[in-house]
Amino acid sequence: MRHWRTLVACVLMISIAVRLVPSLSYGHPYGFDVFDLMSRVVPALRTGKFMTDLPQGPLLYSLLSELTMLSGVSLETISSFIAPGILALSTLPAIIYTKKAINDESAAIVAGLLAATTSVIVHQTGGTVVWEGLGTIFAGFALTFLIQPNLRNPKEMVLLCMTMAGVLFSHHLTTMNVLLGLGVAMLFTMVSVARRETSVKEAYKQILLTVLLGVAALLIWVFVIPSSTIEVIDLTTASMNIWTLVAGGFLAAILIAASYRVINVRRARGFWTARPFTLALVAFFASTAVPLLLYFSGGMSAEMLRMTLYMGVPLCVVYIPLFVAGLVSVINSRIESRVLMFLLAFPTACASLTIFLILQPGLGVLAYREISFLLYSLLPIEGVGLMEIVRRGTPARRYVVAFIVAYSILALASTSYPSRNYLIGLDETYQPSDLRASKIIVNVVPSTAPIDADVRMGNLIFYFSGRDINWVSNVTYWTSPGPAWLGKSAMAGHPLDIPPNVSFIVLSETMLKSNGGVVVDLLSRKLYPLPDEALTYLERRPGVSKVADAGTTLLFQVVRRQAEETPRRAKP
Amino acid sequence: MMSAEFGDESFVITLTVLSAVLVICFLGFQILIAPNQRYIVMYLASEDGKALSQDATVLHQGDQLRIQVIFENHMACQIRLKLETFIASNLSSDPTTSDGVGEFRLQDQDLILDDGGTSTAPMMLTVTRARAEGDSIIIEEVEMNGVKSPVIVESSLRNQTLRFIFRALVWSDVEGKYVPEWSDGQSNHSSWLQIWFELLPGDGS
Repeated sequence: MRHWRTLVACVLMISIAVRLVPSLSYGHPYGFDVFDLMSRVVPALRTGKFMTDLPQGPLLYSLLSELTMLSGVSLETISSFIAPGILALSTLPAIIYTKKAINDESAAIVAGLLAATTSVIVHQTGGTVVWEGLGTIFAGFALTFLIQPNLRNPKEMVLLCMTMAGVLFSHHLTTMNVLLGLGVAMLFTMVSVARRETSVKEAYKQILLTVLLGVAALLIWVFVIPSSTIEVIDLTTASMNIWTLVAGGFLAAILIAASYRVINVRRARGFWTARPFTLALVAFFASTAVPLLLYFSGGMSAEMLRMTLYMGVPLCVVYIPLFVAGLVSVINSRIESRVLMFLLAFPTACASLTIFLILQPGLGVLAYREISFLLYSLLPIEGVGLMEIVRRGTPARRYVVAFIVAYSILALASTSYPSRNYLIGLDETYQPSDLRASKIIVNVVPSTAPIDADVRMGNLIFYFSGRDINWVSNVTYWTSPGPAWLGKSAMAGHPLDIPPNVSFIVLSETMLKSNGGVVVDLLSRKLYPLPDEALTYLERRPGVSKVADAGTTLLFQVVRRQAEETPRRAKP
Repeated sequence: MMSAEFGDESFVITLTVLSAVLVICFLGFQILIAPNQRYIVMYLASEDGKALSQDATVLHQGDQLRIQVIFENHMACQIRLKLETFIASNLSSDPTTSDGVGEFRLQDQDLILDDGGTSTAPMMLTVTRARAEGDSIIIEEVEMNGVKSPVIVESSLRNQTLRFIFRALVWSDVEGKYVPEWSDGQSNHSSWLQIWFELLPGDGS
């Protein structure tokens, strides 16, 4: 392709532009996980070493620290503008992976465009500066080396090891996805060996690679980043029961078996490939009807329905027809079995884990984290799918298709930063007043005084204090039900008595029911809005002073009144 | 003819350029219409700039409660504020309403804040005269920054509900008067704080 480099540059430009939108709009980092991340970097910038554990993986913390120290720019500026730009480079391995797997430059550019603009991928790879972004970059390069590895080439092997180490140290869930993908690929290979379709040597290589990565991951999770990874696994095992495990495992196994069946199909019928717009319409109606049916049957809340329709429908309408067309095309092109196996192994692993998680009590909502890597690993097939549809059309139709797909890409990109109305009440955007109020709270409140706040505001006070603050809700927010007062009152639906372990309460207007907000708690639990009566209760309860007001954020101080403890003794 | 001109490469170029134009224009528009939030911060602190201790709000008659009410202006323009201070005892008083809390107003202070500016209003509050009557306590006089004001504030002796309330009114050029609400560009807010206190028996001295 003559304009290959220009097109890649153009795709990268789109990728960076989409990821910089919130920072350019608000001038500070977007998303509340970013402030948790930065809160662990702040002490390192002050003292020269990390003072806390580094959940999910240490690499992104180190990267942010080094960028801040080397550039002399503030951590907030780095997290607002530089880090999203770097994580936007996750588009690049998607292009290279597709090009190497399919050997089709046009499909590679399409894959890059989708990686640059798909809302869920944008959100996890720079839209918010989170560990997944760095993990995805390394995972993308790892897939590129794995798809057609040359084990005799030492340079390639060193690069493969480096990218694998990058995944391991960047993000635990991405590591798990790569590990599961390798596991599924290994399973496929072993079945092929049993059927004498693949050499035993090939199987040995994959077993060795999977076992090595598995052992390394286990060592890192146990010894380097025990806090969140092992806790999440404990959480899964704590709420599991035999029936959900069996059902989840059974459905996951069916998916893996179906995927293996697809690999062995020698020829696929191209019925839907010739009717992409009909398929898109079917996908549209199905993706609208299924959530609506679930909603009206009581299986889905109104908030979840809004989010599913807002984010899910554009994804289904674009990805499903392209996937079907791409898969048919790849099967019929008689691509090497090993390549097809790898192309399907990673999305199969993610889809299986998603189904498994959905069926585990209390953990269904965690399945959303699988979707970005699932879509990312599907990109080569999506790229081939679009090019197959285009190649079947007349030149005039191709021109029309270019417009339709461009508008579809716009639809995908424009849903990257949903407001709280479309995000089950979660507000990832901070107002400047929230930031200023949190800074004042950190300056005014003694570091030992117990503060109650939700995760959204708690991450801010953690950041401004360098985690030197007594946020009581955070102590238990992974494993026990609800933070101190806010979470429990939200869960109860009415204001409860303020427990004795709370001295200050940080209340944000994004928690209130009347504003469509929620008290942000552990995402594996249902999030509840704080009833407006709770605000009235704080404003009127004797002994609860309102000591700061920034419009969107309020600080209440709970004074333990003597009148509550001892009767009055004398007259003044 | 057209087929030769509009092959794979032409398609990919058209798609990429169109996508770039559409996405960047749309996102640029989103950036342009993003509200530039304006706000006022109001908070209470002791003289050392920290939150009041648990003991600070337990007063005897004659004890001085020393606090500062601090304002920050982030409204992108100069603002004029009137800080009203009240003493109240009952729970029906609502400082967020425009009619205020009635006859227990102590003193007003006028403040002018430049954009990005901070202003501190020091407060020295003393209950100078109070008496017990049956099961009630009645505050008859309060001194604020050296000025004594006669008040009548009654509360139950066993379960005191005494509080100082600080309400900020913002000057509105449109209405030509001080108003209790200001807009951050998206919604209206009112700024007020309150501090509950207890009156213990005996003189502070």
